[in-house]
Amino acid sequence: MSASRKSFRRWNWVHKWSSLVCTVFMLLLCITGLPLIFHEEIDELLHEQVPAAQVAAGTPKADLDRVVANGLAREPGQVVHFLIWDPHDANSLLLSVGKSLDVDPSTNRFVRVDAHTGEYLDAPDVTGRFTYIMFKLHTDMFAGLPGKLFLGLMGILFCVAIISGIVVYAPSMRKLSFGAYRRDRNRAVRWLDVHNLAGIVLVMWALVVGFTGVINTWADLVIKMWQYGQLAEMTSAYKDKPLVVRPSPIEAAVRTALETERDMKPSFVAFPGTLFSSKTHYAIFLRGDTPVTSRMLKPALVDAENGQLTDSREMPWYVSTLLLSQPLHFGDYGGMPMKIIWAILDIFTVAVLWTGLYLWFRRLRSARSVARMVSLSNASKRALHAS
Amino acid sequence: MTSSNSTSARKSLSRIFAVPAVLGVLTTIGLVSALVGDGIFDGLSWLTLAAPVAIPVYCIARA
Repeated sequence: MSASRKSFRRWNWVHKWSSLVCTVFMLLLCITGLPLIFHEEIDELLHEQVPAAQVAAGTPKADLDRVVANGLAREPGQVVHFLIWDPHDANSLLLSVGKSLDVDPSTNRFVRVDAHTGEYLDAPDVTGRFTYIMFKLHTDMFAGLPGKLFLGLMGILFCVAIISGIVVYAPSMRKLSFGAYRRDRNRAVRWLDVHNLAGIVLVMWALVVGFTGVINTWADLVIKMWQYGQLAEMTSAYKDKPLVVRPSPIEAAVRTALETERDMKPSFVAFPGTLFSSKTHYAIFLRGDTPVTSRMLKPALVDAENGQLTDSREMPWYVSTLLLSQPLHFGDYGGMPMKIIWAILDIFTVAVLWTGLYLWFRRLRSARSVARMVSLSNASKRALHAS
Repeated sequence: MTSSNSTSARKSLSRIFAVPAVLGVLTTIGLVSALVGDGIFDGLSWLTLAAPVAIPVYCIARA
């Protein structure tokens, strides 16, 4: 066997097994990911929510301490983890609330408060929603961190399948033009053509969406790294302090943070004692204004005992990488046309997975029938000899 | 798909990957440009990302 033939067989083996192992999960991810591209539109369609007041431009915002107080007044026994400027609606603010500061914030509920009047709007339970179920299936299959990391592993195999797919694409196209579709041939040939064509066209998009998806599965670990890295450094002088008893006003803390970066806007505030802050600080995360910089966060830590700025730094590269990988995975940074393109390419990916699975199954069956024929002919030869 | 295509000589790697390479570049431009800005950058992104959407549909439809 020639060297190139040998290397082709090796790549073919890599392509076959990396795809086979991840295909079922990739199908799950493509199917659940499809509605997630449009999760805002679907939620808007399926679920009523109390609208925030429509106000004239330049209307002053409500005092943030009043916003928090009004939100909590309707949620007895809850504490605020995060105050979030709703990225989709400048007229409302979200309070992420939980039973205590120790609970996992991913189980928190969101209380919506009007950004101008400061009035409580609503606190919908999202856990029964269609989009929530799709989201859980897509991110961790309801299996927590192990589920996430497992899907990340499947994502890595998917990337391996794509790269080995490029290699095995070449020999199968030696005698065919790009885009060949042999309409008059049997299904195995037609589907091979679809697999090759859609597969090679999708390479770059699928690699980007696949790999940024993998990075997203590491989010929890990245956050932990940041907590023990940069956040710990910034608050090292405070590390033995107990939880602040009477925290300073939030409104003043946010103003102090905004003075460090006049061109930036607040994205969210992490309260003292939560995942993203120390026990004695408000962590105010600021963002920029362009599609990229609006996702790049810059934390400013404000001492919640005296309202003074402690430190403000750029995020380390590993957090920036995670933040940048999110839009590239979600496809939510180029308006509705981009979402539609994302959806079509997602469906194409399903076609590649499905035709790939079919082709493997066909070959398996024909290999078996060849094996059966070989053993039959051997048996008949033996019978012939015996007679 | 014409018969001359399937009987033509074996093609070089550069010919096999010419169109896929162009598509890869277009996709990359599309993915990056919408990140850089809005408006015209979004438009460029839609235009370039339409290529991997349209080309397989075109190839199969014309066959």
